[in-house]
Amino acid sequence: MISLIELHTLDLTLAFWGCIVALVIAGATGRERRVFLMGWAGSFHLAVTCLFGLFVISYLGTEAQIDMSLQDSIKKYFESWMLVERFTLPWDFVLSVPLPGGQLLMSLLAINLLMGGLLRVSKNLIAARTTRRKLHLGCLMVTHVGVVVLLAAGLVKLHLSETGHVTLFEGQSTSEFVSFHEWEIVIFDAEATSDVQEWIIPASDFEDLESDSRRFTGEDLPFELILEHFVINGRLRPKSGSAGHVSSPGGDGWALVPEKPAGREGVNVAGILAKIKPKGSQATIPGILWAGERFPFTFPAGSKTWAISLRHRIFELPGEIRLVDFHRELHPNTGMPRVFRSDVEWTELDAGGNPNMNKIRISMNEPLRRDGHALFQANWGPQDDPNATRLYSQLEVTRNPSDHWPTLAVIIIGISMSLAMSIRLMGYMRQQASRRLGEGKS
Amino acid sequence: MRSLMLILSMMLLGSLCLPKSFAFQGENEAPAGTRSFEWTPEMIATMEALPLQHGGRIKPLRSWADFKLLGLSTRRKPKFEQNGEQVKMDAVAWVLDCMFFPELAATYPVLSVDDSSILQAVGLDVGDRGRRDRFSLEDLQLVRTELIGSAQRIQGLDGSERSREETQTLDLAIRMRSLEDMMRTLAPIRMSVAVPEGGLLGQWATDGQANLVTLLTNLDQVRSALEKSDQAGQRMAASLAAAMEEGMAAGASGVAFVPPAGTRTDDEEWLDLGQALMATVTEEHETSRLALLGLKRAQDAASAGDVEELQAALTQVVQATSDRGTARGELKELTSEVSFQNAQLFTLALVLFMCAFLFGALALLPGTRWLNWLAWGTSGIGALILVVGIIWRCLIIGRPPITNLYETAPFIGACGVILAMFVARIQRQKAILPLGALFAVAILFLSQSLELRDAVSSGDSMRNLMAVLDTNFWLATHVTIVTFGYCAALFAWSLAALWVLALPFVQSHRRKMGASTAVWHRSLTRSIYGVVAFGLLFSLVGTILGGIWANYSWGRFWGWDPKENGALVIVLWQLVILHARMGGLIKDLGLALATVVLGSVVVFSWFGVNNLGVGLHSYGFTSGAARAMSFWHMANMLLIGWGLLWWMVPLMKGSQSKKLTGPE
Repeated sequence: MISLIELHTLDLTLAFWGCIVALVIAGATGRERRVFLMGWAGSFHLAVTCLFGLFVISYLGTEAQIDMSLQDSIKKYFESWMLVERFTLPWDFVLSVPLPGGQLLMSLLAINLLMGGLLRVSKNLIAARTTRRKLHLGCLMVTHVGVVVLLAAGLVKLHLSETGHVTLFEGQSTSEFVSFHEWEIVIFDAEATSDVQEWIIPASDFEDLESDSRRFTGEDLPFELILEHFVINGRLRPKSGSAGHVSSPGGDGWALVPEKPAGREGVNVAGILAKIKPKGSQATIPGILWAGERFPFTFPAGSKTWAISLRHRIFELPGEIRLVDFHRELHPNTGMPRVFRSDVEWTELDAGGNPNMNKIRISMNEPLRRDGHALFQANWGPQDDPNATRLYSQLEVTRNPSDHWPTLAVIIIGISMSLAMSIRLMGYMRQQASRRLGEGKS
Repeated sequence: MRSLMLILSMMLLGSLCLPKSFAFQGENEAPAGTRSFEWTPEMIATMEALPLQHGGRIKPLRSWADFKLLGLSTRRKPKFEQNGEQVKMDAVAWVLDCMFFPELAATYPVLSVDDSSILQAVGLDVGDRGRRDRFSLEDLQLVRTELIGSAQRIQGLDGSERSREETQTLDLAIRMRSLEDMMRTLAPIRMSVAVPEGGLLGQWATDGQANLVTLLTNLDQVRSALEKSDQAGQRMAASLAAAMEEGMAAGASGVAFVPPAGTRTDDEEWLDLGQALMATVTEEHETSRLALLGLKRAQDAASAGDVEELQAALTQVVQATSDRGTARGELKELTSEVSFQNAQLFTLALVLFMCAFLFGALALLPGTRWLNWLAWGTSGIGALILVVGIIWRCLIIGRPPITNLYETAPFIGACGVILAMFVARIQRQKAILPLGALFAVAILFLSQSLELRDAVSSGDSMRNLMAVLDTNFWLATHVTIVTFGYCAALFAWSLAALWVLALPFVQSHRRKMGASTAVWHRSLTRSIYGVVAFGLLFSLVGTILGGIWANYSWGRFWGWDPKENGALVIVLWQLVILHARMGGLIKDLGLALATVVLGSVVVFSWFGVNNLGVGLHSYGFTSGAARAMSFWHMANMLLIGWGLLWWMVPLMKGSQSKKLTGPE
């Protein structure tokens, strides 16, 4: 049972789309109902309600970032269906107000945009008598199309993009990048020296585990893996009987202690409890998988030694990147960075399967783009050691199919809105001029 | 020669330290506490063009002096009473006094204190001084130790734990230390070493003291003299090394006057006078030698009151550093910047807008058509001057018009006036022009306040950019467009405020003469609607461009960062207004009141999100603006209350006029 305060964690996606489908079916069964529903869905009332709601949660979500992390505020205000906001009034009176979440408002706004901004405007366009009005409505419709493109870009990014980083010292190379926020569990043969085969369990299969457990098996694996008690941020502590907040301990005297999620999820250190049950055996091997450990958890099963590790999710790059030189400049006689950039070698296979190497400079505002991936100069370090002789460069990597859609949207919106306003302004000026002329004559 | 150089270098590195009691004597040529001459306009003109490096930027002494004084005193020209006379000084003259006559400059009351109770708290008897007053270093000398002690304690506290008084105490202590540092700028040229009577280096000594700069500028002869005498030479060299170490520490003022040897790409860091001392020895750096010698010569001439010699010496200093800086290609905009600072174009524009407001307001009276023309003329010239000033700044810093919070204000002022002129022309409404002028006056006063903040925080309003902002394309597109969106929204607010404030006048006229008298009020409504729609175009496009920039810089289009949300709430509120109006949900009064709210939303985005102190855009952070913003939001609430009150008046009187401004 979810508490009122945690309302924003409730996933109402199915319920929302269920309602929409029900309304569509209801609309299909009668003309009057259809007209009413379409009128409501495309109404200015709904548009104003959604926009006002988004305005309110944007404001609240911004103010909330003083006390909560960016990621938490995004989850609570912008990715939620519903939320409860607590307002502290005079005399410490707390008022809890349920509010629609960002996802609900944006979904409703998208429907309103389609029904009102496109469908209704296109009807008006057909019915318009003058060319100027037709042009004006046409431009307004195109503006709404631009907004649809923008919302679609956000949707695609939310569901289809991959984000992570590549962190390299000079001379190092890699063909993978590591997610900032997503986790995965990897199983591999600890004795293999080359062509290591990995069995991956994605985060979606274990990150919901609290007191319950889940069993994982594989045809090639001589054991079963039972996972339970996932914590997004935790520390390993010696097992203590009195510590009530400690989740179920492992068998080696250590326990996984949940901690408050960190400000940025990149510095969270996740953990999960694991039990390994070799096939054909009743005994289990308890263990703790903790992302902060340098070495994987190993155990014997079958005739081999196996290893399991909880790590940030790893993605493949479409080529290999090697950091040749990292350069950092400060403004003279100050500690303010002026430039930081990475000179890299990017090697990819050409059409014939031959490696093709290019020397590329990645700097702030000038990313490297290859095959749908973009690598940005994001950070460098160690920044807390002024005498460090070896610096590393951190490149943020994204694979976003809708990478350039916002540019398209801004072109569409910019041109169409300018035209719509110019048409309106010219019409108004002409009207004013003729009115003044009329006043002069009279 | 090389062996002596090595020994000297080793001594400079401290590897051959001798007891401190030996020979060294510090800054013992304290300059006189009085000045027997006035700084001539020629001297000021010479010195204001002295190039220096501060905050990572090469700038003229004029800019540095103006901002230094502004930061310490909240004024560009100190004004105080001395010996019964009112004195008003130029900032460069004040800097020259700080450099050449520190004892005299210590008596100038230039440290502004907002609340003198903070001085009473550390034990100073402020006598009949006002609550807000300016104090000199000499005034604070009695409680210096207590003030520094308090500041150190306060510095240990978290920012949120500090009271207003504690923040002011810390701020005063920092400014006092900064002023003290300034007074020591020329300390290296006043350093001397004790020279035994009739012994080594005696030819450069007066009263047993040899000036360090004199010795270093005669280095070859000093070296050969030291080489001739083994033990005494070593002791003397050690004494010199200790004096140089002391001189280097004293000369580390954060302001670098001397361009280094080599090209700009080899070494970008200019040298302060302490480093120049060292460079004279280690690199035989000619510019350092000339600059030190020139300053020494200037100090001697100033102490002796020899004006002609002083002028020549100052020219020598400026010439030596300028020649080197020019050869390095660093002084292209220096003269232009001096002229820009002296022109004070934004202040001139402010005066013109004040006149335009007066002319425009008086032109509302019947039979004053010529005043209307005057209002148009002064507004137009004022706008032109602002635009010229903005372009001039762009040329100096080589950047688009807006690179920091301060620069948004003149830009918004200029665009606001131009927008007002455009709307006034279309609507043929006399009231809009003075409103635009008043808008510009308010924004330019705000810009002065922002400039003061820059002066206090970094001593410059043309600061260098962080790496992520170092892109002229995005600064020219996203920042300019989104700021224009702010401008349109704020101007719409001013139209709405006028609309609301004019309600009693409109209603009394309507009662007397019927609804037709409120035609101009309806016309104002159309103006509000048009300007909000116009602003939406820029806010929306600017915000999306910001997202695209973020996508290029950080790899994500939208991150719900406070500044991004700030831009979004403006767009959303403008959309709420326009859709509510189009859908008939609000009428005239509703439109005006919603636009008043837009004013608060814009200020939240412009300043409020920076005050949160969180997010990727926290480089625009300003402190202490929270109170001003509270006043602004309160004023808007009062405006809304005023509007609702006057909407209710006809309802209560049963007037039929409610149709015009009916319930929304």
